[in-house]
Amino acid sequence: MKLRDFILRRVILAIPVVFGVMTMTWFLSYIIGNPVAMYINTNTPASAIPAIRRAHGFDEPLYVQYFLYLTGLFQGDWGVSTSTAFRPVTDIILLKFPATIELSMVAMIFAIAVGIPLGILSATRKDQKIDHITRVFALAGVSMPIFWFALMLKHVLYFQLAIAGLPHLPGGERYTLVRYLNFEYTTGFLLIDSLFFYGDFTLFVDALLHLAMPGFCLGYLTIAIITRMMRSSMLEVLREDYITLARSKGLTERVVIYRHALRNAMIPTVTVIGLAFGSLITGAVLTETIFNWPGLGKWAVRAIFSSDLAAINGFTLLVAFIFVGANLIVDLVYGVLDPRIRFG
Amino acid sequence: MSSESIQASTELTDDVAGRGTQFQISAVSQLMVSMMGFMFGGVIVLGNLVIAMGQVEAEPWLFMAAWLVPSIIILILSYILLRIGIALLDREMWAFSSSLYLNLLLALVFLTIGNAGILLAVGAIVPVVVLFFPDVKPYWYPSFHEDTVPRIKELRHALYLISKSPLVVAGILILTCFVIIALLAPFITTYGPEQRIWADSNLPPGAPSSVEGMPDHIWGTDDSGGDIYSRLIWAAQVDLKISLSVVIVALAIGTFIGAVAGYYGGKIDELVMRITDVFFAFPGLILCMAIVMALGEKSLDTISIALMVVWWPTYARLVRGQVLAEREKLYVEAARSIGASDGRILLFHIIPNTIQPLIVQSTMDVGSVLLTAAGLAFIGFGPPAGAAEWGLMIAIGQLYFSMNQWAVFFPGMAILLTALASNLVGDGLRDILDPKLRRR
Repeated sequence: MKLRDFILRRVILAIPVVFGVMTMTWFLSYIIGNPVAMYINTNTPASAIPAIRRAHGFDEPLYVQYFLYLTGLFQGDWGVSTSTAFRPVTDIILLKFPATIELSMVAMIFAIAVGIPLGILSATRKDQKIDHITRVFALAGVSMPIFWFALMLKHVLYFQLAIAGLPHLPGGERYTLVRYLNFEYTTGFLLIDSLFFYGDFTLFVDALLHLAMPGFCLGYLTIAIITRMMRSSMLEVLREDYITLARSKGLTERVVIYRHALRNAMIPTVTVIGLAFGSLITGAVLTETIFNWPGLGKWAVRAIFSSDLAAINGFTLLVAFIFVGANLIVDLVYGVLDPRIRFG
Repeated sequence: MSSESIQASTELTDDVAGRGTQFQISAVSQLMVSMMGFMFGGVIVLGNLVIAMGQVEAEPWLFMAAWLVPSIIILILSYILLRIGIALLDREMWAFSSSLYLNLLLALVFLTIGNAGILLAVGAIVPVVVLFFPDVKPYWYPSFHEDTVPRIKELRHALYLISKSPLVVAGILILTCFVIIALLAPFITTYGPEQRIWADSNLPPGAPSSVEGMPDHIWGTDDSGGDIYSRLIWAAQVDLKISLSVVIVALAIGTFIGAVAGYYGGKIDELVMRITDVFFAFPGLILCMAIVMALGEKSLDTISIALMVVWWPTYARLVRGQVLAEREKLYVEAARSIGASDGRILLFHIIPNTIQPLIVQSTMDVGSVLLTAAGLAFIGFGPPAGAAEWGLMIAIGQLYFSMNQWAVFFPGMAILLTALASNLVGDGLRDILDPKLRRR
């Protein structure tokens, strides 16, 4: 199979999944409650409800409604979020998305920076004490209820230190609100905004400090996934004949591991990193709530508590799309990196 | 007993009476299970004494031991269930606060596993006995040694590897401890799962109860005066039940669908894989939440069902991949050529060869299910308020976190330990069971 055909095939295969996702959200929103509810609030007069039903096509047969829902999604009409001042869901997503992405990115970078060295360490010292310690450390990350870990971290590094009058990490928000009252985002990514658009280095540091705890929490969850994959693929690679050859040539262990083994072991790890993005966003839902992070996750949790159907629907769709996209990209990268996949 | 404590206990019975019928049915189901356990245990003990005496040429006591151990375990388990059932009927204790259907489901699971467990235990112990004592020869099975020796060697090697790996041993120990603690809950707790003394709210660990005659609060109390230590142990029952039943049901459904998809291929395969793709595209937590919402009621039943719906695609995909790899192999061809049916080939030839990744995955999922259930409770989709469930305890405790950290800390530790143990076992087993990794 040529590379072009491979890419085409993968993209075409993703289309039914996207439709499946949209069908499922439509189906669920129908079961959960009446979708008319997202256009009605307590101030809507009862006499206006039939008109609203008609205006949004809820009196049509089901298949027409399904079609209307799909066209609405494609035209950017994702409904109105009743819990967020009746603003369109797409507007809020655009507004809050950068905050979540910034947090996820920082967490991911942290996880990669810690996870890959740990995986190598663990694989090269298999079954030694350091391997056991690394594995327990990594596995504890996926075994922890992330909101519990966030709470505990916040308690120690914020409350306790603050009570003792010591320097402490900030306990929530993206920057110190009191100090930068009228801050307006340009790109929405605070780290980029503060450095390139405002040139305010203290704000940059402030933002970094605010990212530290939620980023660490979220990253710790991902470290486990990366370390585990790195370890097992490294172990597999280290058994290959070319590694034995490299060793018998008299190369130092360092060169064997970092030049020969690491490159081949990285391929499956890169895949897992791509896929871990999905779990990162689920984790962000819980972390953002604890750290009062003004991103999508906190918005979604608030929407859930006030049963704001359009917002829940929109959030679910968005995350599902991100996940399908990440899957697709990982598949494509894998296919480009490893020609064997294309012919498999 | 002072007047306050009497008041506390009347409050308690009132609340039980409110859910009286449900409790009674639940109690009866427990009693039935325990009766059946007694029956099975008794029959096995008696029957196998006879078999062991009459049919084995040498050293009958070895065979007796092999049969006796599992049956005694079953008898003990049945006794504990019986006690819980009686406690429920008398309403003297708040045994099994969880829902009826889950109880029935678990009873079923219990019975199936119990019987399969006996067979497995016998199947595993007898050959080991035979290996260590070569002069024991079952006369009704002449080629016994030739047939079992390779399997036994494999088993011994696996056991050796497990014993060599401290993490797996630690994980197994922790999990066993939790199961035993959960089963013994009626005997080791000092308070009922939903019993609360309002005067004792937000006490630190070790504080005595303000009501005279009531036991100390070893690990403190939560915001509404529930004893954290007792609730934690009661919750172990509920949580282990949820995660075990979810994993077992999802495993069964997923294995069936995945095996059929992988074996027959073609359109069925395409369809199943696209459906699992859609399921994978959603974050598990959000999908669970939507399903609980759709089912309309927040209870342990709906949460379990939602988790099962979300979890089966994992297994379906795993099994499908394995079956795809196995179905072209020579032994399958051989089985087909002697006229074995598709069902027989799948069940007896292919699935036994795909079981290892399934064991690893399902062990690790025991922890993940627990974590997802806790996450659900946190976003408001846990069991009804007041129930003893770890996730819910954290979710409610965090509202009062600034004045009472213990109500959050202990349940979190319980989840962490259980999930960590299951992950340790699963991760270690992956290394041990992987045929490529093992003989090096």
